[in-house]
Amino acid sequence: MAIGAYPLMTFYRIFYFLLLLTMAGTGRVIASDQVSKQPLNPIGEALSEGLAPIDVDVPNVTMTKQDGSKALFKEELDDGRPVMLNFVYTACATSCPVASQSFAKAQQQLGDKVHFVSISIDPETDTPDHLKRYSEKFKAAPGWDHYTGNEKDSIAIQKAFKAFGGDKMNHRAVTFIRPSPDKPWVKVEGFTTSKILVQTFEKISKASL
Amino acid sequence: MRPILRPQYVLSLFFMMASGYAHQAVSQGPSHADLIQRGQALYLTGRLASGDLIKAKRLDLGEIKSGSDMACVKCHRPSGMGSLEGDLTIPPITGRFLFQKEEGQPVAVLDPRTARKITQPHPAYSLRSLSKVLREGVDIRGKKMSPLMPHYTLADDDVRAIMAYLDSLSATVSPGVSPTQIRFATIITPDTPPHRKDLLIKMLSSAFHQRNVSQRLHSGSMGMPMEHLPHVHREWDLAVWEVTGDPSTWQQQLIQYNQDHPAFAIFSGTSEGTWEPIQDFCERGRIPCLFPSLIAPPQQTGSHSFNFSKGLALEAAVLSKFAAMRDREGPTHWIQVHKTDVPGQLASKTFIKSSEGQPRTITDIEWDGSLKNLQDQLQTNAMNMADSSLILWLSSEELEALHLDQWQTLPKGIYLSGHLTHGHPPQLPETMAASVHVISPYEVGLKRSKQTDTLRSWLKTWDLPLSDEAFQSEVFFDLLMLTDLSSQMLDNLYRDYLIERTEDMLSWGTNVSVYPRLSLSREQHYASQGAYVTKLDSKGQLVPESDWMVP
Repeated sequence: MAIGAYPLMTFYRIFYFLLLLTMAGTGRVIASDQVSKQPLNPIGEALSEGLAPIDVDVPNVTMTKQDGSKALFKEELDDGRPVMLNFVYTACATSCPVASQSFAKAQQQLGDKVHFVSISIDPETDTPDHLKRYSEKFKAAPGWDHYTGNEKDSIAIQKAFKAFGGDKMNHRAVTFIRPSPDKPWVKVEGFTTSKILVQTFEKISKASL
Repeated sequence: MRPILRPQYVLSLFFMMASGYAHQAVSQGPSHADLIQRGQALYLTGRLASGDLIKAKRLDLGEIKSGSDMACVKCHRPSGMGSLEGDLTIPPITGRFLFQKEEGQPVAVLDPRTARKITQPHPAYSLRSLSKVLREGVDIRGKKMSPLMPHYTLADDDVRAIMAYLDSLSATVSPGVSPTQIRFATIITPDTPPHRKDLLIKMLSSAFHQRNVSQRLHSGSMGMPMEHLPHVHREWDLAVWEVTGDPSTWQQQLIQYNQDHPAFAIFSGTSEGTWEPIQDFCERGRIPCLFPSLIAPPQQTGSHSFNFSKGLALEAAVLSKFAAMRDREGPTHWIQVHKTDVPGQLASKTFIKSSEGQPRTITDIEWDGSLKNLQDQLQTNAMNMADSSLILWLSSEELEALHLDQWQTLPKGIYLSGHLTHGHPPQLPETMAASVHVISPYEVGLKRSKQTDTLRSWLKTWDLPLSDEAFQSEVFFDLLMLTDLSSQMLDNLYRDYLIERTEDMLSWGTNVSVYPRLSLSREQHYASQGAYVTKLDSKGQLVPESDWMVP
């Protein structure tokens, strides 16, 4: 019996050690709701909650755009335009398409004065061709760029924005907005409608005048 | 068995009570089979009976007509068992979860990373309450659902059709599952060397034995958190399906095996030649085929097949990219030696194809196995040899037979395959070591030995040899994954669900394989997508001379 028990521990330990820890404090399986409690920013809430600026130290990495051209990522962000940034991957089926649709609609309203930046968190799969098809699907106009690169560099960027979940399956819906290169970034959490994106953008642009 | 009030009866009853000409309406309405079919079209493609695409609204994105993007299957998946992405959990919506009375509802794990997120019992959904979900995004308890759940414009008949389809979806467990047992099969092709076959069977049967014994002895007392969730304890049964003879006959042999004793899923297995007929079998039979150990895997996977990587084709493409980055100063000459078998053809053809557009000439030498012939052919190229790079798509044993150390002229560089040399540095005379490079699809150095620590201690526990680490780590990975998936699935043993869980899960958990990183998605069924180009250091160990390169 003991012979069976020990290897079982070794065998399972790998995946479940952390789970055990989580369970230890609770004693039983705690029920959760059927439907995920993904935070939604009802219109107005995000604005009234106060948008805390965050420090981002953009790493010095070269990324590749959907057209195959390479660019220093820092320079891409610091070209003077306001930036609206998110993280996506093209095989993402549920949350990214919604985030990208919000970007598409926000771009229709804000036009080319804002640089829309979507960074792949699955760069090994997301070749420039993948990104091109993806951006065409969402009718991205000039001014909305999709970036890929090597795994290391994509992670470095995610970490700089404190948006690194360890893996693409752990990513959360979050958008970053910066009115100009000399201003701090502002983070908008959760699934955001284009309306919230535009309102937030206008609010922080005004505040920074 | 407790009788279950099927929703279609509830529906007809509702219909009869609600309408004065109930009898007529029931007999003239669409048949149940028609309803299911209409529901299926809606579920899978977002198409209404009229042929129009479904209309739905999400967030403030306006009326969207893009049917397939708004189809239920996008989030709830072909099995109807839901999905997981980031912190977003999408619940199962099959009839067993929605329409049964509370006490009869099964349990599913919504997010295995926390094990607390499981489905909760709720009152059975009716036409009315389901309509409210679909049209307004409000659940049966009156709670607003996730903003990602679209609000659909649907007629009552459409909702009825969806109900009928959901009720038929994942209604019974898949073949290979009995009340007491679940059968997994592994497939071995005739080209597999005996020691490899032996190793595979020993590892699999030890693990199956371990799993069955420990479950019997310890279930309920010292299992892991997910083991506490209510589910039937089923023994694991291992079937070894050995195919023989010509590959064109394999599919028929497998169909026969599966007819006699169906397997829930195929996992692991090995071949040193073609795997195409086996993949065909899996795709046609819609049976999950998880991560066989291959050097020449099919270059396109179907929806039911998963591979570790693209094998030798990946190596060839990475080498081509590496060479293109390095040889910027002008044309280069390459000689590649390969056998006429499937792996040899795959490697050489991929290298030639990915060299297109490069200032590179390639002399392609097909080796028929005769040493004399090869030496003659190399002799013909001897003049070029010193200015050429040589790729030897050969195994360690074949390399040894070549007696590279006796060659008079050595090429500029010799490139060897990581797959074919099994991830071990080749034994070479010191004078040659400096010019040898290995394309490694595996992690190297300390990192690799850390990742394979668990494998080594497991093998020790079971008194099994470690003779082919890369291969054995793949088998071990498969075993852990299967253990993991089956405990996540509880009693929801549907093949499609297994595939969906596989697509979602690989990205988390500790990596026990020789690969630096394994990651999948719905469109990505090759878990590792790159390789290093490495060279030998003074101790004869492989060290990367390139970044992790993805072709």
